[in-house]
Amino acid sequence: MKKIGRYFCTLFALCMFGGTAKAEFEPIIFIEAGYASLKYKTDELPVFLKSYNSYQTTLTQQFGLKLPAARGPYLKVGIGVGATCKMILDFTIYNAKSQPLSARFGDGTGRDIWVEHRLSNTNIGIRFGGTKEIPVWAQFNMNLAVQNSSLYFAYVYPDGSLSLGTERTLSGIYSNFNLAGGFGVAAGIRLLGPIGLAIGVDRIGVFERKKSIEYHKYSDLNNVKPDMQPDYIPRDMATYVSDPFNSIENSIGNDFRGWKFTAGITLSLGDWEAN
Amino acid sequence: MRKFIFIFSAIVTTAFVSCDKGDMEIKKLNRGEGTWTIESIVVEEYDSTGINRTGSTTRTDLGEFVFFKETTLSALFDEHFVTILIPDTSGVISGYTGGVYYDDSRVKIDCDPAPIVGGIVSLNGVWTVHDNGRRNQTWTMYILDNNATLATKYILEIKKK
Repeated sequence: MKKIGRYFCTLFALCMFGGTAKAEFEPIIFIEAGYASLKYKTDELPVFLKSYNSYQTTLTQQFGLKLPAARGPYLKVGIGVGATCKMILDFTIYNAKSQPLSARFGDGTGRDIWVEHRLSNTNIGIRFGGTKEIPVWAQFNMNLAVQNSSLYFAYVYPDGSLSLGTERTLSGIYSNFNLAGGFGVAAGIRLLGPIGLAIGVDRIGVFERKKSIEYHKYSDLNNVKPDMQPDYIPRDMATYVSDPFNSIENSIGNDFRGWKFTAGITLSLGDWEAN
Repeated sequence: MRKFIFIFSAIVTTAFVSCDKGDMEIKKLNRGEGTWTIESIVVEEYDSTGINRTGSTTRTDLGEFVFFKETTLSALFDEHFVTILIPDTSGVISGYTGGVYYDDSRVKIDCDPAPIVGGIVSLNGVWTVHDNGRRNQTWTMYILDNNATLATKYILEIKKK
């Protein structure tokens, strides 16, 4: 990882001085909107799911242990300076939600759990191509993001309706945020005037994975009088039931990381002119 | 060019930082005058198994929510509030004001004393938001009996005024 970082920094410096030294200097501004798929993995959540499955012995359908990829829209705005080699700075908001994992009892009741990731991402990149003469471009990215992950833990009633209320133990939304970052590549092509297509893939890691960050339920409800309920997702259900207010060493943390795939439509001004 | 990049970064960063979820979502409720009418409340009763519905009652024209944001110099945080206006059988309107939290999936209402609509349903508590539209919303709350089985389900429909 360090080697990649050093290589990237060198390339970045060369691009800044080499690219911008040319007489031809094309600042661009672009907006991109599209769809992202966050194929993340977590080691912490399956610990809880396994424990829940073994504690609830009457389940007719147990939780699966792997959350599906979270998918949702993103919006990016950015600028670039340089010539055929540009320095790019962009900001992106992602909002992606996964399909639920389900556990059911014989009477139709049960639990659903799903995750929502909200990322505010700042990216510095180096773009090759994408000029008035060259309609295609490729880009190396270095990301830094505030990643807010929320685990939705809903109770399912026999009529199929979901409740995130406080009437059942564990129900609610458990959230926290951490600092995430990584490297990636992107590519694009200008198709119709300033409008083009862009795709990208990034490897996203979290900086504090070894120091697990707990999810908490009521951090967002504290502006209103909080209820006295345990506000963490346990590693061990039996311990949680016998001693619910003791979260020490019995709470899972947020360690979502993995691959982020994007595809979108881009509107870029500055690298295109009408004939 | 440097000045342009700096201004651009400052604007975008400010815009992104200000997109705090809790603050952003509740704008859906308190935008404009923040007034929503309580269109109806459905009260579903369940038997002792919590599975079979034994009855359902629908009440309409129950009052109004007025959502608003109040910032005071002494407050540590911006606070969101709601005033619930409920008419009694003779048409006299009582107002209940308290804190509110909304995140598009849940809404928490906390007034003292508790606002009672339709003569029986307390609006205090955490509701699950099933329809989070800008003009119409549907919230549900589930009440359990002493054996932790479902006793009553409330379905509240509100409409932007």
